[in-house]
Amino acid sequence: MRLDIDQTTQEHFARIHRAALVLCGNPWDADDLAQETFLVLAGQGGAFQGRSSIYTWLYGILLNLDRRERRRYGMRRRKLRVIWDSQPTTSATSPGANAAAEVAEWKKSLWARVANLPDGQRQALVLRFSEGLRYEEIAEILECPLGTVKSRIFHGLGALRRLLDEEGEESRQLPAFPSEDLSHAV
Amino acid sequence: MQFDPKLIHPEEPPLIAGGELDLPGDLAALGEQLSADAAHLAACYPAAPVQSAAAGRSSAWKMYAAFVLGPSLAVLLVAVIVWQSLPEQPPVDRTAAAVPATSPAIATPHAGDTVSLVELSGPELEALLDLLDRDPDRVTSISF
Repeated sequence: MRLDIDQTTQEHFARIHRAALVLCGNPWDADDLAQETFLVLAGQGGAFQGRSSIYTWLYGILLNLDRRERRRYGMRRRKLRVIWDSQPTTSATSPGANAAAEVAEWKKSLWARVANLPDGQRQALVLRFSEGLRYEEIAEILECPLGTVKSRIFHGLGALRRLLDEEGEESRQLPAFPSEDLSHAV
Repeated sequence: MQFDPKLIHPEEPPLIAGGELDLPGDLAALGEQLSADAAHLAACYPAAPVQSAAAGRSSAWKMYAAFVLGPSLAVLLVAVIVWQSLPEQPPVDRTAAAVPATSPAIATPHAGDTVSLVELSGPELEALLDLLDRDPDRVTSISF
């Protein structure tokens, strides 16, 4: 089956970019990830058999690239931690070049908490609640049974609920303004 | 020893008749919040307009033309202006230039050839006199 790359890109770039934005947390990495997805499409367009929708195929590419990027980032962080632990010098005043940069809107959103969930749950939640896909489509993209998709969504939401509860308890325990000197009020 | 792991299966999600997830109220609200947050993020940071490959090729050709043809035209224009601003050279004496040379640098006239000394420049005149000195056997006549 011959794919028209230009037309496919025009039709599906926005939705792939939206999913990438939710996954990455900033528009710059989302741009890169979405463009890389379509580069893979341009390179492997001939491999598309037409048995599934083109957008489910694109989501599959996107999620693979995202997994790869997270693995790389995790590896970099582990290496940096080893170097940092072996050379405890002065404290950093600004985040390093490898620090993740997320936009404020994403940090304030629930997707920043979803980023802490395991890969399977995170991806299922993105496909269901950001992209609005059916369970069958999600199962096809994640290459797992339908029951597993439903289980991941259910338990992913449950884990998210627990994360929010823990955050709520922590914020209740912390003073609202830690640097404020309240000794004069006593 | 036989490997017999005790697998602990996670709690099965509650389903309604159509196979749809029967989410409790708080989890359903979280799902709705996730959808709203995703829509908000997409509105804040929309995807940049995509340029098609054909348009990309066209713009690449335009950039190539601008970067290569532009400077070439400029160089050509400067060359034309410089050439036009040069002072006009005096006409070359064809008679002297056509004479075969014994030395690669200076042409010497054949016997019987006529050279107008008036049209020779100072260095050319000096060179001619040097050649005449070097070859005293040559029959030379000077007429005024």
